[in-house]
Amino acid sequence: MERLRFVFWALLALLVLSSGVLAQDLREIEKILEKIDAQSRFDDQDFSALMTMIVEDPEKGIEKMVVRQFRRDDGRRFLLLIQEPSTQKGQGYLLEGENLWFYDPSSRKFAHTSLKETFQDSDARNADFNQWTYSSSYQVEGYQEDVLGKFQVYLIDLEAVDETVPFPFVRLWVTQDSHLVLKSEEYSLTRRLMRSSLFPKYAQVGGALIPTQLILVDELVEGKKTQIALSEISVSKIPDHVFTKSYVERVSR
Amino acid sequence: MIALKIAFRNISRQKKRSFLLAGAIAFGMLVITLLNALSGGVVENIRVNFSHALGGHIFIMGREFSGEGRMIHKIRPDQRLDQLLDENAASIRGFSKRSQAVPSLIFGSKQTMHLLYGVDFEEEDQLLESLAVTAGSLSGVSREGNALILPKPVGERLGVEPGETVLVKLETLSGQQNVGEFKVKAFIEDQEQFGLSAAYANRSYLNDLLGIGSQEYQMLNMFVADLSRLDDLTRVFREGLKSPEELEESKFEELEEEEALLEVSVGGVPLDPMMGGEEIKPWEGTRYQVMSLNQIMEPVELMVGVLNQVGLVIFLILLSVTMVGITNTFRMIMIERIREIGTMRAFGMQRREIKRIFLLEAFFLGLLGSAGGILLTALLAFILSKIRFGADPALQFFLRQGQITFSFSAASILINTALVLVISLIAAYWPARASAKLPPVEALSSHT
Amino acid sequence: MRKIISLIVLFFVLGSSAVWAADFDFDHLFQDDLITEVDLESGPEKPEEALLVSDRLEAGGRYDFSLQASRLYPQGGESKDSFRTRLGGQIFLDARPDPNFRVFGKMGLDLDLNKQGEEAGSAWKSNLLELFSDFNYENKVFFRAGKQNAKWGVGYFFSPADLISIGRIDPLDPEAEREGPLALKIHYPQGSNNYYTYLLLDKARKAEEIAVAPKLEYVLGRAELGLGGFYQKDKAPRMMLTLSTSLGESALFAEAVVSKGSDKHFFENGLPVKKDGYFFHATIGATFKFEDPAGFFDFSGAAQYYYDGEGTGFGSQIFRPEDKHNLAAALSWNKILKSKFSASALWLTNLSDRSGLVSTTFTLPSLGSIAPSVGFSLNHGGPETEFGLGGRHKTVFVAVTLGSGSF
Repeated sequence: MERLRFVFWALLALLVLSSGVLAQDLREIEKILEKIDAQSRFDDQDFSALMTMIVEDPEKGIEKMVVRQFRRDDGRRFLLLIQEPSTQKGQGYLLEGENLWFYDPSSRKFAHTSLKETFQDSDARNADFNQWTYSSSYQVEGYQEDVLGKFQVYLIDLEAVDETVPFPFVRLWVTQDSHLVLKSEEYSLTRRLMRSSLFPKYAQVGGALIPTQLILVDELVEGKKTQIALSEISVSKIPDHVFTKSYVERVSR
Repeated sequence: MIALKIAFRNISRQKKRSFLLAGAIAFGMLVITLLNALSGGVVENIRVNFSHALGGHIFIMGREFSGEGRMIHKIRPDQRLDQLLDENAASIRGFSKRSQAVPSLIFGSKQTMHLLYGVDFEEEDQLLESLAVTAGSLSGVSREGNALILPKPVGERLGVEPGETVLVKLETLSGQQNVGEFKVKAFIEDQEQFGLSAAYANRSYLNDLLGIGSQEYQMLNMFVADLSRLDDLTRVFREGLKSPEELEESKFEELEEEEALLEVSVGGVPLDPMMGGEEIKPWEGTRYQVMSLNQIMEPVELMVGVLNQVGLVIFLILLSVTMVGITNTFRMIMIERIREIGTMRAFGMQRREIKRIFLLEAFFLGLLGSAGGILLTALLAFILSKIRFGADPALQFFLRQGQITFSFSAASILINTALVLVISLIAAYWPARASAKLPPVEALSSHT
Repeated sequence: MRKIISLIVLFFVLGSSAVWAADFDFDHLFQDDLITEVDLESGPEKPEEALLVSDRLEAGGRYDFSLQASRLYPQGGESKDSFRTRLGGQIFLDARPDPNFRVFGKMGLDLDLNKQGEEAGSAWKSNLLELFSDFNYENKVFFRAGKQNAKWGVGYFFSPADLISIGRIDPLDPEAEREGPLALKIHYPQGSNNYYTYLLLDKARKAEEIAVAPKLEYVLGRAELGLGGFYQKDKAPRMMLTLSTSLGESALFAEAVVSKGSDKHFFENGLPVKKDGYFFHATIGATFKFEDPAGFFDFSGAAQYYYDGEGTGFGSQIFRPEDKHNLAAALSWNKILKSKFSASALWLTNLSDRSGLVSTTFTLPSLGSIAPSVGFSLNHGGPETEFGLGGRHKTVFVAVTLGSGSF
């Protein structure tokens, strides 16, 4: 009887202890998420890059788009210059707060328009260009250790805290040492895999780490994927004259 | 009596001329009758096609605001609504409570967007019978939660076969991504034949995917027993479903309310021109929108009305041309028969009688022409309605099962005939009066 | 260089897609080092300047080839068939030796098929569309000197506020390129506001005949406001005001113009007279887009009202010194019910003399670069009206464009 009681207490203690360890670890994971969010933030400096986007659609074929982007540190001013496809080359979008000017080089006219929700038709949503908000939008369901390629990773399962994010469930592969997201899987409410995102390359930009290569795979439609590559990244100060109509006119044909 | 006989004889005497005159009248009659019948048929067909495509005559939608301030279209179980349905049961031929979405249907590397209705197959027991199955089978559809019935063209586009599974990607009402697996049970004939036929699934499963309760739904569609009472019934529901706050508000903005309800939706897709326009203040609970087929048909009927007026103008132009022709012909007839008139007058026929002969002649010409025109129309309509038109979806919208239909209105035929007769009489009146006024001696001595 | 990089990216992508087809080769994808340092100090050159320099002459242009067969039914006349071939193109050259200096030229080339046989050699008509250079003062004040397309005004079908362009908008083809002035543009941007002065040299034979046209652009909330003027010796001075903003999916625009006197001649009692009073122009309109989620109804359209205080005129003469009201509307239904067919309709009308023009075009599915369309147009109005001038007629046409495109 005494033995039995001891075993019982031992088990209970172990249980309590282990759950304590688990809670401790989840807290660790939450800290990692906070770090991921923090290091994805680079909006306190000017930013310029060449973005190459390739959309592969089994029905529409392959479409490629190359866009040069400039962003002002205040986050209110953007300039997007389309380099490819050649039929759209020279078109520019100048954004300032709520005002958007579209420049058509053949008529040399700036059309003043309102902001569009999605940027072209692809798997890439606006959220992909913004910073991540894993720590505030999701809570940790569980995690385990795993290996991806040559990297030791944490495999973290997340659940949305409310209905404001499009994907209710997300699974992340995060490197254990540098806390970089290598891969994420986004699930529907019915927990079906909808999209996989791969981030095989990062660039250190000041204090931030931003993915320079994104591969977004539509897991529902066979053969549909989008790739985004950022090159010629610069965070040096962009002169004021870049965010003006005159610059758009000068740079376009 | 003699006048009648002579009039008839005169008509048959110059067969060719009479035939041409009556033919002109018949042609005018043909154009107007055919156009009226055609536009009437088109309106009816559009009405039927709309009511089929939209699944009813009256449509009730519920709107409420979610915790995050997002407008959600859904109807919760509501005693007010059930009571109204009970009270008006005699006027309602049938109703359905459906959920709907326009999801991406995905099979392999193919995807397409299509209207999908979530239906309670037990409640809507007639629906399954009305569907024309081209492949697969509908048996056990209500028992298999994830059964899917696809219009044949959609199935062909996806390259799927009955028995296979397709993915359905949609957003929940709160905006989250969701995916369901549906098993294709059957293909159905694209009933409406204009590509807007919906796909059907079990409501409870679709509700699950949309994130609404299994007893909730998004649209209540009603078929009414008597279409002439459609507007009354619409009003009954519209008023009966207003919440106390709405009644309070509507006192002030009655006019605006009417306009706001003029929202047109095709194939379940609301065409809302005011998108992002005015700001709506969030409210508590559910508010209902009640629309009737008549509201949707208003622009169509307006257009057809214009078309009919154009037809009437053409008809009147044709008639006035004919009228000039009749007047001229009767003048000629008068000159031709000047001796005959003299003889008749010499035999003691009164002026009134002479006039009557001419007028009767014109009257019967008009009558013959009208009758001929109506007969020709009937013949043409009969032949045209036998032609089956191809599968062009846009055209099918105006047809019934691929065929033109005509809707003859006795009243408009009678009015048009009367118009023809009056115009013929007016046209013949002056020559008739002139012949009656001819002095008998002069007429007799005429050498023409 | 940029092109090469993107080509490399493309090859990388295409090359690896074969691997993905089966499944992702994670080991391959995640073998290299993750982080590449971006060297902030010794970056190659400033990206905004890199875009402004090119060590070679860039060339490009567009090519148009279309055939159109039409049958014209004049009222009370014999129908007339016509067949028209249009062959033309544009070539541009762009030289950027230095970030602060650039020369750009654009030529248009059209085959004039009316000249044939002996004259055929001169059937090619070329014209200079643009030739200008860009330079600046310390990246603060920017100059563009030469013949240049310059768009003032925000109107779609009518733009009276465009005081400086030589070409007018053709309401039948509102998005076509228009001829610009020979000018020196001085541009001083400040934030999102812009200050311009144009010195227009087109008709200046003496220095004092140079026209001056200043313009300001201000951003006010969600709207952009433009204010401009035009002054030339012996010409009617003009002022204009423009406004553009957005509401939901629609873009709204408005223009107002006032001139002291008019450059047109008014005929009164058969004699040309000049008028000195104030003339007003005003216009307001909107463009919009609508597409339902399923893609059955993809509409785009534009509508505009225009009050022209100077009146109907042909060339520089006005026979009837009356103001006029115009209304224009266009609606396109693209990919009708998700088919490959598109339809568009255009309606132009002069409300004052009750003349107008209706044109509809039905675009058929294209076969590769062969794009066929059919259409119908008709006009209405009396013989001395804006749209009834050449007599009333109906036209049906079949057109096909062959291998047209930009390069």
